[in-house]
Amino acid sequence: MILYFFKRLGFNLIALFVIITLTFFLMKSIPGDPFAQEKALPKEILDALYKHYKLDQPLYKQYLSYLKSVATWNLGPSFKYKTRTVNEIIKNGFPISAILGLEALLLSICLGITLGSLAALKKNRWQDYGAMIGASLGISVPHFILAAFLQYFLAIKFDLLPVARWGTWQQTILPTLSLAALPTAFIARLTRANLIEVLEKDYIKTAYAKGLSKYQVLIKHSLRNAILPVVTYLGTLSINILTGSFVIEKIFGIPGLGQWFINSVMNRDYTVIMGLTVFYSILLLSVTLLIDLLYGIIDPRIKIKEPI
Amino acid sequence: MLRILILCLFIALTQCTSTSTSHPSVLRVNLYCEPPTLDPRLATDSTSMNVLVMLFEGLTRIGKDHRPHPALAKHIKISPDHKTYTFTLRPSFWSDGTALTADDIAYAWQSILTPNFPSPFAYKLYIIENAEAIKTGKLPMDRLGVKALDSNKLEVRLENPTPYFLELLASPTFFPVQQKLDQANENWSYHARSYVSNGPFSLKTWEHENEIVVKKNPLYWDEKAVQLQNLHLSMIEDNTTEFYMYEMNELDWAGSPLSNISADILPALKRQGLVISIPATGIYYFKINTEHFPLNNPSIRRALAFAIDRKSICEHVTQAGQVPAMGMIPPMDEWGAPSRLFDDHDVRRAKQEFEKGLKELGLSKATFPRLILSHNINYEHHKIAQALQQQWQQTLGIDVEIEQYDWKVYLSKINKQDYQIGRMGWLGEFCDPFTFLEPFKTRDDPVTGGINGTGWENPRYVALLTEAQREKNREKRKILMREAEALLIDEMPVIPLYFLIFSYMKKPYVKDVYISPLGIADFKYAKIK
Repeated sequence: MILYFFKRLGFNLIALFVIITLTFFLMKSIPGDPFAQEKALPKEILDALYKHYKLDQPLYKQYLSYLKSVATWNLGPSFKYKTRTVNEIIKNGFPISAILGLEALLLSICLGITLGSLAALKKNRWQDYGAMIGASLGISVPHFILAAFLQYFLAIKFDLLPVARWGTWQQTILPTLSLAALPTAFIARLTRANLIEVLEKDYIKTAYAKGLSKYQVLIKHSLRNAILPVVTYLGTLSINILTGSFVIEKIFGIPGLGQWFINSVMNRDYTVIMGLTVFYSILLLSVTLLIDLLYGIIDPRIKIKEPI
Repeated sequence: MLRILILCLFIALTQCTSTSTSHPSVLRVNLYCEPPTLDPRLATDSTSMNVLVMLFEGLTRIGKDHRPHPALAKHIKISPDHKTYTFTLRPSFWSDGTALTADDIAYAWQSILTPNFPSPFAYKLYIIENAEAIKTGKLPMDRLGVKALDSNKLEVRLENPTPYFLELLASPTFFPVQQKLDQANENWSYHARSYVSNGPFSLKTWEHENEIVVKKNPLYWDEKAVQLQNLHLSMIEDNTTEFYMYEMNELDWAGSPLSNISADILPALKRQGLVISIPATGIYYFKINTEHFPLNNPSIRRALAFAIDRKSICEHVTQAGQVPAMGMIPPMDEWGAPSRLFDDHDVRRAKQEFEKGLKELGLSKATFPRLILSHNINYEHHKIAQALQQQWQQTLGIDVEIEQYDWKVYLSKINKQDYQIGRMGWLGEFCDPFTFLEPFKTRDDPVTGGINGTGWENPRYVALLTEAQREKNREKRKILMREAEALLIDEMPVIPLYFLIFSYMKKPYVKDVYISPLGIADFKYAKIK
């Protein structure tokens, strides 16, 4: 187990290195200049800007100094937002996106598994159809449309919640609901499909034959087996949702991390693009590793083998 | 798209009347986005500029009449040749209580002109004697035409008589910076706690990407004129949300100059009489690559310009009250109405010029190549491009293809002249025709490295502008500028489309916010009543 962990950690570091290298060179190959504007700047001024941001150095030097900045976790200043460093952007933006993401994640796990189980247990009855129609809607309606609807009805028409912005608990409700819809629906469908399959397995019959109650069977024997694909899905989902959504943050005026992913590319804000990609990759790689370790705990059939 | 539908429905169903009776105690305005910097020497964008005008005061300040008035300067003496200005400063203080001296102004300008200092707008200071040579490292700093004669006297020598100099002094690039502070802590402008300014307001809090709060500065020299105690500036990068918040009384202002009212709802709101529109000193136009066949022929360029029906684009496409442009100089207070250098939608002349151009190029209508019209990705620009495509097809029978690019890619294509016809918007840097004519002065300036992106250059145009720069008689200067404009339009390396406007909504209790035609909102005199 420990050896397995370190082996995976090693692979992750190599993967991270490849990601950093690829992003660096891909980013440098996008046309467009961070300092381009409508009126072309005089050469000496552009030179001063390039020099200030060390863009005048040969590419390999920029690459090496970038590697160094990642290693020391000093990701440099933003080119566009002169008062901000990438470290600060992550430090301020990530907690906000993460709080919102966590709320949405918890909501979608609880609601998704409940709805999915309900649908599976009441297969082909109205509860099933109701839950699955809801889930189909949740999957097919893009979250920004849902956000627009929620914003219009709950905040404007009925004036129950604030329109936008960040700071109070009420302000998190609309974005949380908008963010949670898709994963809730997806988890509900996954749970339903797997649970139906598991419920027809022989060992479930055995469990009932032993005289276990319906809920004991559901929690101990069926759900635990049915939930594995959901756990797999949760890995990428949680990273996507915790790092923020561009559209939701824009619509609700939330100062999270999501907007930076898009805006930094638009502005050719090189340090921010790189910093966020590295940050995102580190999170993703660690969570995937964590999920793989979790498999062994949830499903006793999966044993992480010690290499001989 | 659906969001827009809901929004349009909302406007159709609810008569937005904005008649809330309760007045907020603070003014709440949406800044749209995080200001990229609050160091006046580094700012180039309108968000930063607007906040800086609240926080700082220059030697002059733009008044309600859109003209510069003495501000930090109590008295301004101009030499007979209009090249030496002597400013006598009034006693004034920084927000930390220390006295502001002429050295603080000289220091700010000198630091901008230090060769390695990363200030994109340093070129604006090139009107000062030897400034350009100093920035390029050819002369030492002590040759700069700026001298603090004593603690409250500043002498500035200019390269040329520059009639708009006093107006420039009211813009952030020319603001003072506290020398002692900047030398001790170069990151002073990053946080509210270390921020020191000298304007009507001081920075209270700055929550990045969320909200800036500015409060009345009790040490401001003219603090009696400032009514507002607090001003909350939120950062919501979504025009629809901004509009909703305005409607729900969570904001007191929506739209220009800080943000925009979504173009999809602007016409409907305008019909309901809820939007205020004021002319901007800016123009929407097309650049033409004059080195690209067949656009290298001036007759073809003129034919394209004459064939456009600007009135119908303004009335049916943009629909916000823009004014058709048949010249390059927007309406400006002192300069009167814009020139009409040709008739809008002159089909007869367009066809004539087109035939002439075809003959000169040895082409026929059938062999006339397909043209490419480029713009940066934006739905509004796309609608305009489609209108042009259709009008050129109908009037001249030519095929036009539309290409769209991401903004930064688009800019680099235009600046590298890798395009045929490309849309551009230009908001003046100051209220003088020079800011609209000078960008086309030289195709490739070996000294400044500036380029106009069209490949066009005309020695007569260069001579006219150079002469205008040296002329101190206003009337004579005006004639030279108008002549230059006529020449530019006759050769048509640019096709004007319309003059920009600013559209905004404000709650009835918001009073005395002055919007300059350059897109600066001055809240110094603002009141809630």
